[in-house]
Amino acid sequence: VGMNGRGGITRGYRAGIFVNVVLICLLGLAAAIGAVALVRRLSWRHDLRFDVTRDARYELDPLVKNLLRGLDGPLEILFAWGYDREIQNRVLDGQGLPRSDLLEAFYDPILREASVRVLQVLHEWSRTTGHVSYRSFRVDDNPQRLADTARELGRPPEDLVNQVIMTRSGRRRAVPLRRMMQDMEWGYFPASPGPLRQEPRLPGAWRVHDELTATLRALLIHEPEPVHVLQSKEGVLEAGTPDWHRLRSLLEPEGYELVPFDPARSAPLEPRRGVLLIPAIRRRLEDRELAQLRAYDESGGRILAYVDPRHPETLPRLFERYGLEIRDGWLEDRSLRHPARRGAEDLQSARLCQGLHPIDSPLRGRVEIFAGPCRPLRVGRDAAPGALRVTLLAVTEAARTIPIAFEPGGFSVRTDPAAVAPTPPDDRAIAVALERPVAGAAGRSRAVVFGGASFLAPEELERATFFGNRDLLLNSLAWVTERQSHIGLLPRGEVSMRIVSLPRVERPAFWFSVVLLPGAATLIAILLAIGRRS
Amino acid sequence: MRRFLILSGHELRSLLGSPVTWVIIGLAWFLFGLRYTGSILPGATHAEAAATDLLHVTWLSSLHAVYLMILFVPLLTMRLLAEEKRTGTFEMLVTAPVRDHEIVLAKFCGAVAATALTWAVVPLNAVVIRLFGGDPDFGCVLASYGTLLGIGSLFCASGLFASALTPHQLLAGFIALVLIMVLLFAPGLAEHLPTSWITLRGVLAAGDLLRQAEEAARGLVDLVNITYQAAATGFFLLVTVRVVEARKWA
Repeated sequence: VGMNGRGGITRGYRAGIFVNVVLICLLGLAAAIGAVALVRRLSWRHDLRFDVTRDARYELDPLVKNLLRGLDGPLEILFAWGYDREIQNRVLDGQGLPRSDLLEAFYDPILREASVRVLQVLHEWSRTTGHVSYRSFRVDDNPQRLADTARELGRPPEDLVNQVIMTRSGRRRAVPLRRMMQDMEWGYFPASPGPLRQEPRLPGAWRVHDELTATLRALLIHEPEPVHVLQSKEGVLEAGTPDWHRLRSLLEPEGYELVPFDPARSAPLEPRRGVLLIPAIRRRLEDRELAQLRAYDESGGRILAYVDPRHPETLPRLFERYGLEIRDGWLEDRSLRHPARRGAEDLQSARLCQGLHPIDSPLRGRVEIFAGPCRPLRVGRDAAPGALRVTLLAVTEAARTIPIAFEPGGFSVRTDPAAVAPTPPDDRAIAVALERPVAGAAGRSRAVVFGGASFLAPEELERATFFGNRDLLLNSLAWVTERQSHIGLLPRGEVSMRIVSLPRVERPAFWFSVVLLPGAATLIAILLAIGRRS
Repeated sequence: MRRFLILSGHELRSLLGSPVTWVIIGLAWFLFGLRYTGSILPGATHAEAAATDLLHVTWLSSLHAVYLMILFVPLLTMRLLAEEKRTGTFEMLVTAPVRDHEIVLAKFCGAVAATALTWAVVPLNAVVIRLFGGDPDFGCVLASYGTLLGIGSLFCASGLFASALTPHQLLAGFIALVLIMVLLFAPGLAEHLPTSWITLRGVLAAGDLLRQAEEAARGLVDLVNITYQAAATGFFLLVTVRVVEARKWA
């Protein structure tokens, strides 16, 4: 059958084979598309992504676990999601009604993906502690449930859609789903076809974990702690300046309130409330001001101080009862600077953290700290009985100190590179945590002193996905204000990456991957060719 | 199964016993090594933020590997079936007591093994970094290698299909190159499809191979990505089997 007279197959039979091949290929294509579509559909409901990183960076971080495990009462979370009015307004037809085909085609997949991501985090939270319970439903499928929930919470139903609402002990905090979708293009479909139409696109980055954690932290903080910022008229953190607002926007969600503090005009600080922040003040404090600060410290004060080699603030006698001496000098350490930076004085490394204290132990080896220019801090032997001094950050034995001198009456600094000397072991600290008992007062005085102003630079604090400066500041504030459960490492963003210093492996990597491996392959090829010829 | 194993072993020996294969592998290693060391030398080619970031290096490595595969997989696969046809051994092969799918699968396995050997350089480099005091996250590295294998398998299957279409090696290589480019860049067309084709748009968007490589290098293994690679590879193998079968009759 199908054979022609010349012993070949007939044209009809040939066409039959072709049709058969095409049909099977089309079926195969349909099966392949179907398999991918099915798994993709499943991934909307179940998380089908697996975290294989060593430190489980996409899992819950220690900070959230600390917060959740510290819960002493129920935390109820509600997540109602679906087409809210804002989304519906983007797809209205000529009669002002939302077009269901556009909603299903464009907004349904986005909302499903967002809901899976939120529910995954909430599920992890509920697994961490029995105090967390969450409810979630789709409002389009459950309008009656939405109405009941709105009545229960005393809010209009539309206020609940696409929000994660957390309730604990009568306090309530909500985070909109939109805030978790960074660089999201929501699109727009005009009633009549035209060039104005713009399709929505998925967010450039998801901030689900970050936003939920920030909301949880805000909910668990009962009253904002005031951070009194010492004003000096020439300092870097004066009230009302752009840097002030940048720092305020960073600290407010964490439960801290920036308050300007002028020793000459402001009321004396309450010892057991808030914290005094001494930024790079760029002038010598007057005796009267120093006396006021000392009195605050003596009464159980909490101080966060930044001193800088470029500024003459030595804060004399303020920390002497802790046995801390702020030395004049400018540190340089070639082993702790970034390879791409020219100046050896700009310290930046993941190895700065010593990991001996709750403030820096979560950061050690995990993130880089940008320290910039630093002056040495000496932890001396003469301290008040019971004083604890722990070095947070330190340079290495390779460090050298450049002597500095200040112009009389100003703050211009002169350095003498010719007189550079190795840094003595006692002078290698650049950040120290201090604590001592206070006579006649309950509790203890606490202080954290940093040997550089760049630790507090807003541009470094805002680069939180890369540097750990923000974590260092928040952990220091949490420690001095005795909010131990808030110490940790904030969730890194999706772009966050583990920082590993590689200078030692550059040469071996080059020889191995550029010379050794290709050379071995070439050698094998030559041997095979010779073998074949012989 | 025994026939398939014999055929695969023969194919692998034939591939690894060929000086041409080793020249190709050596060239791939050399070019990859240049790009790789360019990634880790501080300040050499990338922003300072990326210079000492090992995960970033893993990510760049896998992207370099995918780009190099565009060139090297067609070189490996173009002669798999085309050469058999050119030298006249194809008829002998198809009339031997083996099934068509066994022939195709054996050729495919040989090519995948060569690809796996070529890109073993990714975990090997991580081992070297570990030996010299670096701290790579082997979860990310292995996920990256696994994804490269998945993408490489897909490219090999498309190259094998191209090789089955023609007896001319160069033409087969060119077709494979075009197919691989389509596989790499077609997902970008998803947003230009009609909005009513929701499923196809979704499947195309899921097939963004560069995004898959990036996700794996970050340490995320996504079942959707694995399904896409397996389904697309299976489709090309199925088509190749059908083409070989049709050629036998035509």
